[in-house]
Amino acid sequence: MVVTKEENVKQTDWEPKIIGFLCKWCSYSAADLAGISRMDYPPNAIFIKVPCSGRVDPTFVLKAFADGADAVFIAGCHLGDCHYIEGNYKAMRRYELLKATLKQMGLDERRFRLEWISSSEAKHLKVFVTEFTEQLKELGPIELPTLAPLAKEEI
Amino acid sequence: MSTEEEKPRIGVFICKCGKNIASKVAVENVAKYAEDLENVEFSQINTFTCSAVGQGAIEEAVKTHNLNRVVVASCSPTMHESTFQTVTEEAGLNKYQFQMANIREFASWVTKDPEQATEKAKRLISGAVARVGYHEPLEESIVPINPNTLIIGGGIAGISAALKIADAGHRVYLVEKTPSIGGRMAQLDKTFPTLDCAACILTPKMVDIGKHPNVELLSYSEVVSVDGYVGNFQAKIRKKPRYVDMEKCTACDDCSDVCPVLVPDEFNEGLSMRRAIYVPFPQAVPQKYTIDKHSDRSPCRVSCPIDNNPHAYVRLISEQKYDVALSKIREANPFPSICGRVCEHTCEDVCKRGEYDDPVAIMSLKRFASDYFRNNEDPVEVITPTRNEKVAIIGAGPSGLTCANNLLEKGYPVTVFEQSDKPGGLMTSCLPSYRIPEEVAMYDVKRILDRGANYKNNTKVGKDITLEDLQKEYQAIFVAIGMQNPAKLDLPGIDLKGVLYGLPFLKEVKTGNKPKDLGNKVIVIGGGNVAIDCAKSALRLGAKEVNVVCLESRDLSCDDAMPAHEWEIEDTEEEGIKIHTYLGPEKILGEDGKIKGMETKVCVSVYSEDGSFHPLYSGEKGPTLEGDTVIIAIGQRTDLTGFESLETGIAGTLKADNITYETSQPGIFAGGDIVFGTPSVVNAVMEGTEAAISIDRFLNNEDLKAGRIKDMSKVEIVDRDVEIKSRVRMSKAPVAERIKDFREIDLGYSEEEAITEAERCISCAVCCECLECDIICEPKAIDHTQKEEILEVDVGAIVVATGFDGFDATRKPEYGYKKYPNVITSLEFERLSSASGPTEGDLITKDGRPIESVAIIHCVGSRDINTNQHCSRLCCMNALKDANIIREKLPDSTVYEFYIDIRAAGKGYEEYYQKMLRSDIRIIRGKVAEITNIPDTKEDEGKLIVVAEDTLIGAILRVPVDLVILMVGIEPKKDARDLAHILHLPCTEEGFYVERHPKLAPTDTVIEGIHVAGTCQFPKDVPDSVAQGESAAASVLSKISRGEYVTEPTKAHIEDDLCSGCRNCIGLCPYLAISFDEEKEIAHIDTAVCAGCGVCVASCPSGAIIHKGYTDEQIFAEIQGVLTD
Repeated sequence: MVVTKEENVKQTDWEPKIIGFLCKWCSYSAADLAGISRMDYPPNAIFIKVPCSGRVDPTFVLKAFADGADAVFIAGCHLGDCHYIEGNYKAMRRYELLKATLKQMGLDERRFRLEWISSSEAKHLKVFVTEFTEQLKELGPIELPTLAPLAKEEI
Repeated sequence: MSTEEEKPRIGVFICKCGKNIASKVAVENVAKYAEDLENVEFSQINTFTCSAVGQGAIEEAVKTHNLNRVVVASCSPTMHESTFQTVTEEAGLNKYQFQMANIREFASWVTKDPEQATEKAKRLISGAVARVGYHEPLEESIVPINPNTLIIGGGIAGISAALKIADAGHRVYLVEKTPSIGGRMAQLDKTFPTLDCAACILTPKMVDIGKHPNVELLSYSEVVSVDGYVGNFQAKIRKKPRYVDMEKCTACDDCSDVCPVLVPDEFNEGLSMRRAIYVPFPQAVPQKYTIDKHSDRSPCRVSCPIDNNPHAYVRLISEQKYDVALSKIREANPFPSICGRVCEHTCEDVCKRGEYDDPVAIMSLKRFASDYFRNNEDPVEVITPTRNEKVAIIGAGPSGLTCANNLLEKGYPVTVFEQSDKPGGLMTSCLPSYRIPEEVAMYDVKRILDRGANYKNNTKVGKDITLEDLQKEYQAIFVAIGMQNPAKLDLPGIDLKGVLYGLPFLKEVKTGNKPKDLGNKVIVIGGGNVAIDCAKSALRLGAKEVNVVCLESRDLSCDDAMPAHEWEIEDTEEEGIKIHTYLGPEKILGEDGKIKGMETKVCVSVYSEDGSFHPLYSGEKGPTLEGDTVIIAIGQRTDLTGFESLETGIAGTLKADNITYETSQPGIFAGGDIVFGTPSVVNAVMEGTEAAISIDRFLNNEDLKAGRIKDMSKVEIVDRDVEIKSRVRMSKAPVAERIKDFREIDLGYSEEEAITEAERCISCAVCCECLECDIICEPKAIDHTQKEEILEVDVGAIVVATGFDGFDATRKPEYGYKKYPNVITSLEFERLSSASGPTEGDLITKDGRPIESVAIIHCVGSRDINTNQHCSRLCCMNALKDANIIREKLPDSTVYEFYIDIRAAGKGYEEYYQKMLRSDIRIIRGKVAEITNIPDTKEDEGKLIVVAEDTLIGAILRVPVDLVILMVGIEPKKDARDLAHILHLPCTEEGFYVERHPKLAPTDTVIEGIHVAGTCQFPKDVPDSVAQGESAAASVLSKISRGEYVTEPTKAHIEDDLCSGCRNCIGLCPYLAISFDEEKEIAHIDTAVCAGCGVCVASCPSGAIIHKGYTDEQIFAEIQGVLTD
């Protein structure tokens, strides 16, 4: 189980760390546009460019959590708009499977999101990152599930 | 990680971007942080890394510090990745041994707090440094560039691009959706600020396109798909059928003179009408006619069981071509006089016009056409047989006569056998004269026999002659004997004197014999048309009270509806006949052998769930009706005497195939009521028609069935603006008069009424296929059977220049567009003012009044948070130009301009504005609140009142004007997103295509090899559109001159040793780039086809697929890097 240590949160100036995998055709451009438009949003999300949301290997997400991300999101083109025809559909299917797996592993499913953001939707990106950050601040830092020590007779 | 010898030696170059980065990110601090990262040998801060100095510094540092990897932390890679890759390459490294950290767009520009921005920049750099350690040198591949270019859109931008490329000696395919190139500019009257005529400067360019040897103009065509990549696109283009042979058409205009169809003219923005066969405007290129035809036929045609073409004959009547109209009707129906009166006209039920007001009175118009000629000259053409095979038709009803008629036309000698003494069946012997006078019905019937049929009456098969005799003499036989015997009822009192049956009663009445002793009160049993006819006939024979008793409901929309036609029932009720519904007969009451009345019982439902006739009674008694006569009209039964050798079907009918109408014996066909019961005249005609086709095929030894299933599926037709105008009601004989005798109730249309009614047809499917154009065309260029063609072209580059649509002003209802006819759009004004427009340039109101004052309203749909936020850029200048034109044409007029801001940024624009300011145009600053037709004073009656605030003096104005011009904004084409999907082009929220860079690459897109130009990218005026067209042409030409293109090596690759041959990846690839090597049992990727999406990489369970430039290691390292504290 993941336990939130509320008191810890209050004591430190803890900030959630978010990793976003952004499709270079749409969401990455939206992030660029947000910059060009000087939109202001929390610095908690770090964007990693991928050629397509369909490139996001489930291990990327696991790696991010393992390395200390409090949340991960994948952002791609709206369904029907994929530059590579249908990569985002594949991303969507993998996302659902991975989300279910993460949940079974004890991870709060609110920490893993999939969002469709087109290149013109800078405002959408800003609102998404802002709200996601706020939500994570309420959820608190992640505590990764660890294996309970096995009882002797089970070994 | 690389081997020990190649241990990464990374240089980090941090850009201040002037103040753009340095104002938020503490670059010194970041540089120090970077220096301490693993493998970083050197870090440096530059003011502008992209400048020559900055680039030189990188080259220098690589050499001095023996660096083998470069990280630049600056702007977005979209901006400068290729710049720095080139520098890396020039410094002697492979350009892929480079990584960028986007600390401007992702940090300094979006983070308020400098400390946080600095922290974020550090993370981004840490990620880039970690990632670049895994960057391997990659080899680019080179693809040849196909020198052909596809240009989509034939407006001024597309024309400009096409001419530049074609003039350079390269082939251009110019695809234009409409029949002519020219686009919006062709619609314009004058262009600002020089006021030169748009057509005068545009048409020479259009002509150049038309005759340029390097331009293949594909007008009336659309791009349906595009595959491939830069240098090697494969496009599929749908050439819509023009139904006109482009080679043969001489543009003589004879065809549009005879075309009866009128539809709104798109080129004139609906201000005038055009024909279905047309050229959009006089200077169109190509100068070839096009038939505008909906892919489906008009609903009236589709619904007609005999494939008649109401659309054509209605339109022909509107053009006063009654003879052609009548011959069109007769092509499918030899009984126009009869079907003009008694058809069940399903065509009117589906008429598109009915969705706006009333359906067109198709049946009545058919009657008009036939009446017109029955009363005038209408010669019969006698046909001499050309075939030897003889055909016998048994029964001279509508089915038999249609079959005879059609076979005569095919050249067969036909003999018609009729058991009674007159031809025409029920049409001439039973239909009451008040519905159709006998001589009218007989007119149609006689015409058929007069065409050369051998007619034998009083000859009953089975009595006077046998079927076997006929079989010996005739090679084919059509049996259409109808239903002769009335259905009987088993009721107490049924044998009483005074019980009559429907059809025999009507037949007797028709002969003029008045049945004796009908009495004062008549009861009719039945709810069909025959029952109604009996009731009305009884009334005319002097009955004082007539009651109709039927099982069914009067509500004709319910399942238990009466089978009689609505209009027949209405007439009946008008004449005072009572209809008692949901009642069945129980007992006929008699006294002294004479009828006294009838007891009834209550019926609760008529049909069972499967639709079969199965009445259920509640058990209650219904009212007892008084009556002297009971007429039973509950249907007919067959009499198959003489046809015992043929197999029978359900309910005593003859069995026949429902497509070919062939009976159990080859060569004998059957149709009409004897096979299908008693539906209607038009159905009988259909069966006769189909039987004639079968008999012809039979005698030619052809397949009887092939290709005969009729598609009656619903037709989807787009809506149109239609002025509400009810149907012209046909005059009727007054009730009090008409019930005295059997005079015809409906009196028919006058010529004037018929034309007015026919003009109500909106030609919803545009071309009516009357084929008048085909007849008149001397070079024989018309081909109504043309099909669309799909052309495949290979091109190296694509220029998209699809233009714009005007803002739909009905979205601003306060301006009253489409509500007040004299509120028009800026494009409509262009047409109004144009010398080639509907008024030849005369400025008048829609109702033809002279114009004294005009209001021009700026920013309609633009700069408005409720519609479009963007400025449409050209409307201010356009508005000033319109004012200028109006003042020139109408020197006594007053012109008001209502603006928010005047935007006159362009060469000569401000000067023009100043000139207009000094003229006597009233330029008022203030957005218009409302346009109304409620006048303040009597003089203003009939004028439009513009309500606005003059914000400079702070006063509310109410300005009466004759004409309002709305400067509608520019929006992307309605179907812009469809093309975006085909090309995978990104769109802005509004739907404009997105350029690669708003400043530095305004006509490139993110897709290499695809360019945009003109208003499909954003609103712009003519000079800017031309500039963009030529800019796109320059981009295309630079690639063509180089002849080849270097493709990114960031593609997927399979490590043979690791591949397990699971084939997971194969089905995932949308480009079909992965194949299976059966011999090695492993998958293989064709790099030329691979687009580099990486979907397969993420799916490979053995990790055998490597995505060059996006390897798992690289991304893992980046994740780790950005998350390291």
